[in-house]
Amino acid sequence: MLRLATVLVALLPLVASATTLKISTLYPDGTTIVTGLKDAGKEIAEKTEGRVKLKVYPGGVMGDDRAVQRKIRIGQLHGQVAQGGAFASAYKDSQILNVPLAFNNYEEVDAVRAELDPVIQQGLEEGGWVSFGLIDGGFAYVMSEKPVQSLADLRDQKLWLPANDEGSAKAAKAFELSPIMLNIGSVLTSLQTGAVNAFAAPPVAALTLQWYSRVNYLTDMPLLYTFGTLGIHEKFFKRLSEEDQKVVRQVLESTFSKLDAESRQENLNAFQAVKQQGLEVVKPTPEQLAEWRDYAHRATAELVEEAEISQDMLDRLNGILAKQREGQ
Amino acid sequence: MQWRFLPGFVPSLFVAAAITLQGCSVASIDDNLPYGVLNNNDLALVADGLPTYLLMVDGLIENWPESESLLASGADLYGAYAGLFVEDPTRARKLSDKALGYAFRSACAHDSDYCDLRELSVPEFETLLEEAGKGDVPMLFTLGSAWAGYIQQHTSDWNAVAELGRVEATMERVVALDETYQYGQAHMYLGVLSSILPASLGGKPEQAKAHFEQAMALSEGKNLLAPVLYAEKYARLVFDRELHDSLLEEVLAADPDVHGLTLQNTYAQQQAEALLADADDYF
Repeated sequence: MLRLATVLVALLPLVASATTLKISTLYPDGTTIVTGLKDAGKEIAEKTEGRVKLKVYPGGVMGDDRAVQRKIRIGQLHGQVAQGGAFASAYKDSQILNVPLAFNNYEEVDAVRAELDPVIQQGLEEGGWVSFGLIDGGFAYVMSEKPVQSLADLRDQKLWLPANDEGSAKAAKAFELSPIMLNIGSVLTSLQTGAVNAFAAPPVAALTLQWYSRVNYLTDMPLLYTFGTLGIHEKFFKRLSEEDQKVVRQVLESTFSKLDAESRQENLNAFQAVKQQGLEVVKPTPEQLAEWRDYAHRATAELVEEAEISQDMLDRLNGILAKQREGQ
Repeated sequence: MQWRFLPGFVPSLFVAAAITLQGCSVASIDDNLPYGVLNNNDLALVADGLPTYLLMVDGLIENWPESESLLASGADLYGAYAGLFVEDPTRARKLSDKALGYAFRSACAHDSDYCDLRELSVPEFETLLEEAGKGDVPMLFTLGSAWAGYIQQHTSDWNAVAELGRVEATMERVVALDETYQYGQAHMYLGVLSSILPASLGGKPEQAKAHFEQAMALSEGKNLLAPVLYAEKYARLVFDRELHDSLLEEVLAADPDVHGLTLQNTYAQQQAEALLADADDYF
């Protein structure tokens, strides 16, 4: 009898009905990422003989990050593709890549990511989110109506930062800025009316959202690095048999590595396009840059103090960067 | 700092379906000739035959290089051919380049202020549009639709994506000046443009809905492409399957034979079938 029970338990994953993992994202249908996810879903269904399916809800139909996380808690959804910050509460050190002015160029990003991506992935998983690799979001740059070289220049602008975003609010405070906090959806109108006249964003966003058309200058200083990822909540992921988990991981990891490379190229192209659209590039002088860095260090120290990122993680970041810079 | 948007945001979804086979602007060649194309319900026949027609327009433009109406015809026909019939993306891009090139030249022939449009910043371009009058509507509509078709074929080019705002401004001006022009199709374009982004990123789904409904009303239900795009762009964006399916079923039940719209309607019915077949996967 006991043996029969064991056999039955062992068979459970096999007899369990097909599992559909429901994934939400803000990306509209037809974008590279949604198409990539759908293709991955087909491959997963095929390789698990229909036991596992992906269902993608594109275009933000399930609401914003908060609404989506609520739906994930109650099991209406199982995962989401979002910017790194959406998962920060599960693993605070995942924010290490968003440290202000940490990187000078993409070579440095790549050196850091080669070492820290697996750490971040593991940390997220321990925090409850199974992820399959990060997607490059590009550097955010300041773009403005009037040239911004120094921090003082930026303080003179009506700078937009996202509303309801603790990270942005903290950064603004550390840099002694008084930004105008608005929802992302009202930025273009506010730029048109002059209610704001500066923002910081990756060029891809500035072009897609048409914000670029209302400013004249881009400050050539990578303010911070951005990334996105897919997180599936572990309580749903673990319902899959081990064998199926392996298939899902393998397919999604290869999908995300491809999307990461494609996104990087997009971000590089978008930077060129912003310039071609007539934005004039300005660069801080070495003295001005030193001041920016000074404030960035203070902001980072505050992040450590408030336990947003650990000293240990920051040391690792700085260690890799020092090694990378030495090698040049 | 957090960002509410993600990398790789390529609106490859943006399929403005630049099928605006315009009768009136081709009419200068021969009053009834274009209707042979427009009133045809055999897509394959038109796909085979249209290139000859395109080459003829090219030749006429060689002879009359500054003829606004010939250039507009070239823009419309090349744009339509690229959007409707060409599946090879490299060729479609090339043909849409040509369509936009003709549209720019046509606009320039119409009014010298419209030469070198790409040199203008968006605010400068908008100021220029503000000065446009009712007589400029055909030129603006041809320009806007060729530009939309061009962007559709160049979604991987960020410089093209950057120009979306110009298309929107152009079509908004058309609507302001004469919304009934070409069966209200400017509203259809604006519907598509307003539904590219979700509301949380600044998209305007409610405006999209209003534009699509206005496009349907202005064509008195005769332009079947408007409900197809309404279903594909709006109903899918807001996840309204009921609306999606009912729009498409009505399209399939409708008579596609409408003077000047038969070809476009036949294409729309084909699209409607494909969208319905894919609906279980999407919703």
